[in-house]
Amino acid sequence: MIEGKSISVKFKVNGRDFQALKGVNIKVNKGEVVGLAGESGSGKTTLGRAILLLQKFQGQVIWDGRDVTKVKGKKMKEFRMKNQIVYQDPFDAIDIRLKIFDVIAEGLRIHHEGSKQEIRDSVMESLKLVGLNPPEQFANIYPTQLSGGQLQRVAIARTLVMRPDFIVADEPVSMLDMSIRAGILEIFNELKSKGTSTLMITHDLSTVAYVSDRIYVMYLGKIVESGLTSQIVENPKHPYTQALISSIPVPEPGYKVEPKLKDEDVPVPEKGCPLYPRCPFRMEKCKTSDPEMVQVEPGHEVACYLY
Amino acid sequence: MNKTLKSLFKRKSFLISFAILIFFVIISATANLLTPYTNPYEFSQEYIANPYSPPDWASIFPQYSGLPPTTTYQFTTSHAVVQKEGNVSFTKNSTYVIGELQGKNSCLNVSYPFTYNSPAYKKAPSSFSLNFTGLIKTSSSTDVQVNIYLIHGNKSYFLESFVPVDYSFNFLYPTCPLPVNSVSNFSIESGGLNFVNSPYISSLSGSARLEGGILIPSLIFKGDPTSYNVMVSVKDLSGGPVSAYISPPKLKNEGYLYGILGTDFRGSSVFSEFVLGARFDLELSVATSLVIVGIGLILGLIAGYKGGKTDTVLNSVTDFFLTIPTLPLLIVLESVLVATNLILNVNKAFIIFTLIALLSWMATMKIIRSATFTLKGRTFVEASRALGGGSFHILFKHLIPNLLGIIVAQIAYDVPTVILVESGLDFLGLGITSFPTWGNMLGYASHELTASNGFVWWWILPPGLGIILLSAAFYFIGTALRDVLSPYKTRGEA
Amino acid sequence: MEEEISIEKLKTYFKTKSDYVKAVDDLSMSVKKGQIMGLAGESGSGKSTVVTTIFRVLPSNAEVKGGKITFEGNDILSMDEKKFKKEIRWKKISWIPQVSMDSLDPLYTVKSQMMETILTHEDVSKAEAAERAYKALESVKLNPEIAEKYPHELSGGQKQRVIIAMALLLNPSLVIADEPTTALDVVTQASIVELLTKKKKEMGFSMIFVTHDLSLLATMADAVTVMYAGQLAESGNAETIFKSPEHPYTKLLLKSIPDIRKWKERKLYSIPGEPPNLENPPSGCRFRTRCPFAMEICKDKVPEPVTLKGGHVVACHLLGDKK
Repeated sequence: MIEGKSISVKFKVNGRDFQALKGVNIKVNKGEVVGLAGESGSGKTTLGRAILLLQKFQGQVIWDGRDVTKVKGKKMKEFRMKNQIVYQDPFDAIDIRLKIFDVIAEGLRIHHEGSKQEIRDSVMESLKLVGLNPPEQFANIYPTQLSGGQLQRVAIARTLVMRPDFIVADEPVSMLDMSIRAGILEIFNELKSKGTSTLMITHDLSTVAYVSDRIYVMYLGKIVESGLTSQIVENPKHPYTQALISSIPVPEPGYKVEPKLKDEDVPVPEKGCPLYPRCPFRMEKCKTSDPEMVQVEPGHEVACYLY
Repeated sequence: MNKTLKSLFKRKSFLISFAILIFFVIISATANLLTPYTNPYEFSQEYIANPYSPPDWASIFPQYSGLPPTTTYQFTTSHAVVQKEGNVSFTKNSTYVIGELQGKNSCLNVSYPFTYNSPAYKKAPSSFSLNFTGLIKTSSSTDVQVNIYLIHGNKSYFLESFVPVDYSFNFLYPTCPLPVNSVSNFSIESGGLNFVNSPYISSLSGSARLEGGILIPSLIFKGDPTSYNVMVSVKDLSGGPVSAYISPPKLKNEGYLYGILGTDFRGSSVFSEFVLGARFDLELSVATSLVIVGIGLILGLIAGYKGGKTDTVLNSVTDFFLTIPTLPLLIVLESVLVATNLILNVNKAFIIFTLIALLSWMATMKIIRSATFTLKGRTFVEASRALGGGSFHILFKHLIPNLLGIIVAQIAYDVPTVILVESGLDFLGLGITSFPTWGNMLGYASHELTASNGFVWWWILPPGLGIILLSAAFYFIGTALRDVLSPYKTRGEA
Repeated sequence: MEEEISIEKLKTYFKTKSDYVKAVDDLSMSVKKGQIMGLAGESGSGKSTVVTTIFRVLPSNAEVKGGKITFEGNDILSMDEKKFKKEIRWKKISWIPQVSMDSLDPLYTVKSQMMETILTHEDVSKAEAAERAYKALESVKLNPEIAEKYPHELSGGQKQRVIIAMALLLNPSLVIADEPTTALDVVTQASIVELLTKKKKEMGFSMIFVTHDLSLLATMADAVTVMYAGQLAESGNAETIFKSPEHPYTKLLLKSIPDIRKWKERKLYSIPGEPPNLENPPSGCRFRTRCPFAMEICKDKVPEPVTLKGGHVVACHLLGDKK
């Protein structure tokens, strides 16, 4: 469906090059919800933007079997229509000068999709889809009158109105209160049943585990482990994934989280495995060369010399 | 929109500024109705009253009380009192008294009575002027003489005469020969009938002339009684039929008090200078400000949106312009261009407009550029791109609408800048000198006042206060608009 | 057990153009000596306002409209500001804020900021202050080299450790941690939580741990207070709150928290509706607009906190007859 092949991204930070992504491969199949987990600075947002061609990168993006890395004009418009993004901060992602109706209709208007009445119907329908009822009432107000949760629903409606095949959801619930997160995640579950695939970027494995079919785990610009949700959650292989899962708090009194990694006191290594300075299982080999992804069981890949 | 207006009008500073602005806009828009003068600096529009005359209402202050005001008498034909001699008939319509004269030495006198309360004033008016037009229709071989008199009590002062060529030797100057056997106009348009150009002086005795060492006609307006007449007399010299069309005269005493704001050193109306100056300053500064913001907006948007090398180049160019000391350069360019006639047939105002615009856009560019940078980094701009929006779409749907507050504010902020620069140039005498602006009003004032012994406040304060009030009003309006039109500002965000 | 600090009927309101935002309204809670009290609530619940009220660093538009905060037998709200600054703030009650750009002064090195804290409160020599600063850094498992660094040279986790070290420099008896891990990654969060519990054991201070994440409290808190819209919903020891909550809000909130062990259920719950606007909160119980069990009485009467056995306090009309 959509696939990123050896995607690398370099940023210039204070005049020095910073390798945000180091040859990452990622694939999202039709009707799949894929989680992309990692800490801040791991490059997960950059990867999400690169795969939607919103970010300059080296490598390839394959969409429906076609290489779209360098498409332009009409083909690009088609790509934009079918591939959408939902951002972390709904307050920043919506132009508050526009009425909700215009926020949602923007995409359709850009692509001249349908008559006025058709646009109106689509907007109302997608407002209903994201649970903003009655849609007529929400359509005519301004973003400042809505709460964060409602705004995030508007941001999702803005993408749904385009009937996308694929959505990158960049931490769609991390800014929202716990008590309303489930409602937002539920929308993605429904989309999945309609065949829309999602790449859900998150730093919170516990949330994404509830909705995803597969999970990629990133660390410092690299995918360190990928597999089915069950494989990642129940049987993590990579030391980082293990640490990540054991660090997640659980609402049960007396449950102790275990920080399994050393603290990030040391600078990021120039070569070798990026986890090397913090890894409890590090070997001499890890210091000099970076492990490739290897398959440990069907569908489960790890980049670690332990396997 | 309604909400925007509401929050605007909640601000006191905005309300006051808006009222000031509206005041100046109204006086600019109605300038032609408010003042009869089109350019008080023109020679013909000078000496409408004595130079340095304070305003009429200043007579409430003791030092200005008892000064004669400037009075204009605009008569109509209904005021006309007609006397006739011989075979004469006459009719009146709204514009003329029309007399039909038949027979030699028949005569028509049309007089307009008026009163002037001379004993109430400390001195006589400095001069007076009279405007008169008429038309004499004659058949062939008819000679006509037209005489104009001012009558005070039992004395008649003979002012002007129009006679046939043959009679011209009777008078020294000016005796306008009226071509006989033709249809003719006559008119007096006196810029001040004084002892130099009035034939009446020649008819006075030597001692009377001495008495009028100053403007003698004004002495007429001194002493009892208070009733006067201005009279036109038409005399048929040869007996042919004559039709005389006599319009009512316009008579004016040029006093020592004048109008709403008095007069300057030329005796021109300060009020009309102020009003015309307001119109000019508003027009020039708003137009220039629009161009400044236009340049700044385009360059700032391109630099901020494109970033990278484009930004570096544009920003360096802007920095270069910023390092130029604007006012000295303006002075040099202005004087070179104008003094050397390098540019011919170009309006001086246009040169000033262009120069100021070209040297003042940098601050706006910098502000728009940095605001664009900030906006471009906001997620909704990328969201629009992710939806498929091109640069054009993003610029016009998201960036410019969100910059609107800053743009409008910049226009408002640049207006006072332009007013000040332009006034500065005018003040120095490098700008416009042939037409009143607030700047050159102050410039002339400061120049002339070095020679006069007094504080001519009615001349200095209006343009000075005008510049201050208008600049402050634009500043506060700009600030209010920026706050209200920038949605992210009101939410306490950057 | 003796109480470290007790808050009675605290009202902290924020003034707006036309009205008051009742950020904290009639809140009573107490922290027992040597315990960790978790203070949980969503955004707008007033939990951070409680902290700033205790620490007396309220913004200028806030007003304490009533109530008492008793610490060591004195009401710290009515205490003279100079006395509070000299004897209580940082010395007896210290504060660990959320890591952000401005939690450390970017102009000074870590060491000089730590030394300043010591020198302003205690009469010791510079050498001794420096010595204590180094020791404090070591005690939070930081390399003492960090002392010479500027805040921008530190990672988020390192900064948070420095802030903790600074908060503990003067041996406070009460530490208020205000969302200390919110901006951090899970792995770092786990190590910070571990550090805090360890230091608590070593130094014996009491702690108020403010967070929006109930599951984090499960791992460390002895007691939990749940706030909703500026008011107390429920408080009690951690076991009771997590195992047998009584307030509908607590129940629903617990259901909405993802539990990685239960990922296979694939079902999360959310509470319908939005938190109320505190400028004009609903009459009676503020949760009633979102509560599935709302009754007629909830509209008319604010529920009084009811104390059940084991110090379990619930403010809900459903418990009206259990008194």
